[in-house]
Amino acid sequence: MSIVMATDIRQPIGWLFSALGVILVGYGLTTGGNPMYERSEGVNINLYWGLIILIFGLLLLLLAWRGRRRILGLTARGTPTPAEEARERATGMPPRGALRTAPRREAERETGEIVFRARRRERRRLRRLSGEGR
Amino acid sequence: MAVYFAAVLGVGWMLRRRMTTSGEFLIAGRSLPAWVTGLAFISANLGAQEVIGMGASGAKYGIATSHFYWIGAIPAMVFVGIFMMPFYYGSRARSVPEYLKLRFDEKTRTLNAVSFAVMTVFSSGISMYAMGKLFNLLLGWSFNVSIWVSAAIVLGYVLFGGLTSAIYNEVLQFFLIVFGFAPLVFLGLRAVGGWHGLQAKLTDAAILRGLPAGSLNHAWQGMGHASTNPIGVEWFGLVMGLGFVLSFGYWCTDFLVVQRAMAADSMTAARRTPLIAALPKMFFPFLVILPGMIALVLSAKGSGAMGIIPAKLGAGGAPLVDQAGRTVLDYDLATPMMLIRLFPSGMLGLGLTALLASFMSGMAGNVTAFNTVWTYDIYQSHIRRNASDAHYLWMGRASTVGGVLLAIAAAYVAGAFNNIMELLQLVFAFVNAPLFATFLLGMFWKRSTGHGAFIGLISGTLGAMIHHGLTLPEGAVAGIKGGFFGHLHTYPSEMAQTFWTAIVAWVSCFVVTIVVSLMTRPRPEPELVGLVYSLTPHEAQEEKRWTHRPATLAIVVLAMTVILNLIFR
Repeated sequence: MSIVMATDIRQPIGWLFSALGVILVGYGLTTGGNPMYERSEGVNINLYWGLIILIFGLLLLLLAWRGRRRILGLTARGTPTPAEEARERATGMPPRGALRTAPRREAERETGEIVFRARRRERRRLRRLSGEGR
Repeated sequence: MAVYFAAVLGVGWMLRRRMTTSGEFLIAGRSLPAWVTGLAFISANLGAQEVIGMGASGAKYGIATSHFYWIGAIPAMVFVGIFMMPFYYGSRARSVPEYLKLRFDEKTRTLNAVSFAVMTVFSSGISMYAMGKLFNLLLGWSFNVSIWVSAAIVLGYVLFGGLTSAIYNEVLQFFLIVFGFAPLVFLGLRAVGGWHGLQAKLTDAAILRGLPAGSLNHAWQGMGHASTNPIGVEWFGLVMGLGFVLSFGYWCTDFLVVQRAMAADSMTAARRTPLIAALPKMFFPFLVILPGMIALVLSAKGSGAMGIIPAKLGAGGAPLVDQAGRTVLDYDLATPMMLIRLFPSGMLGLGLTALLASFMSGMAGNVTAFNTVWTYDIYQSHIRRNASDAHYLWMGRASTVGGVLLAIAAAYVAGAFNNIMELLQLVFAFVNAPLFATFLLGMFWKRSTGHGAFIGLISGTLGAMIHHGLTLPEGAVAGIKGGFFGHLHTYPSEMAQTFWTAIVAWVSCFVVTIVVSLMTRPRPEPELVGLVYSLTPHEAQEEKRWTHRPATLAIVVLAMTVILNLIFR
């Protein structure tokens, strides 16, 4: 679930900075020798910083795209082949590209549950009050 | 700015379909990865008051301002991540006041919830007021338009996407602030002759101001005594007042930041959130403090005079002059003046958008903290107890609108009564200072009771008020600066008085809580499992890979902070 979230946020950030980068680079190119650059010590800061921002934005979009491909590849994978299953049983590790973080997070939730279940009465009372599950 | 507005509203819009329960809307359903919550943790705190305020302090105190980060933030962030998050997260409390209810009782929770709700609304209003005035000054924009437009945009994306939207946008705002201000430092350093040029010019500036020659370039030199450093406080007051009481009081108990960590998707992620936030926080002095320091010594275009910070104007429009006859500078304008002085059109737009983004992220943080505390800790606990979750979701949205409107009202009040702002910030300091003592005793001493906590909090606040009322900073008259009960002691500076007030408040709360707890009956131990250190199973938090353990990250963070302190001592 969280990898989808991470992908979600990298996209808007990537788009924003790519757009800002394009604006700055474009403006920097068209105002090449303008006297306003005296303020910035003669450096065409619009152009150079705009390029850096654009690269950052594109990098994030690339990471987001790769993350999404990994998930789509996973759902299209279907059931693991016998070879993959055997390897998984032997090494205890899920096939490459699977959501590696998911089992760890489940374990985290379980240990969190141990602590939580210790106050069962209080939790039941809270649930009654809030009306929600969990 | 238009692109930025489209982006933040777009993020909110993208998330609207997930907002199906009150938990999803108000506390992000506990589903966010550590890097997101970590960056949001620091960004929610990085409001414009921080960006502009640190620039102002940089001009006033030099590199010693970094104490606010390296002493006044990092240790507390490490502490809350390692020691306190297990209780905040493991208790399944939906807010900091709710933790107090689980650990102590309803009245302690209500005291904390009400004071926090009021403070957060006013904080938001003061921030909006400052932004309105600044953009009016810099760009000539209407004060009203700036306030209403930015409030409307924040309201828009929070209403659509709840806390998740606020957090995602805080991550966005973090990067925008970094990209907006980094070139400022780069160009500024070029303009003053690099780092060595800056050091030399600051030495001149210090001598001009009557301070020891190296005092603006060194953080620790001269901390032996209040008169040899620009802040005007000795090391004990600094470390204990700022480094311990104020800093731990904020980072460990303020729901605005803790809420971001509580939205993480696992216990380890929650514990790592403040630590991940500490990494950029350590380096922020170079981003926000340096511009202020450079502004002090950068030559103005045209006149060539030293420093681009304008003089502070008095009521009649004439520049104010201090006791030694020097003009008082309007330090708050240090960073904005840097933007105007060094950025050409284009980059200036980005810098101003970054400034606006920092205002808006602070405001969104306040709004999302307020709506959660209102809905769960005030409304659900006292007004309508057993309604359906759909009703609380509705209430969450309604209180978002209400919170924004109240903040706007507070902004206008701040405008009408300038002294109100100072008074309010004083009151908030009184209320905040004792908080950490209560949480510390609650989490690490199973014998502390609800009565103890409640009375302790009140005595801490009273202690702060009394201490402030009996002391004055040097050169001040009795009134809002203190001394309204009498004049027992003079402090060398306002900072010193503030830090010592905090120490007094903390000690009174601590002592009174212990005494009253010993006289009252505690809750049975089974009820406190998971809420107190000694009653919580420790193996619950073990991460196998040591590279992923919060403790490893904590050690790295602390080591780097010590090194930074040594380099800039």
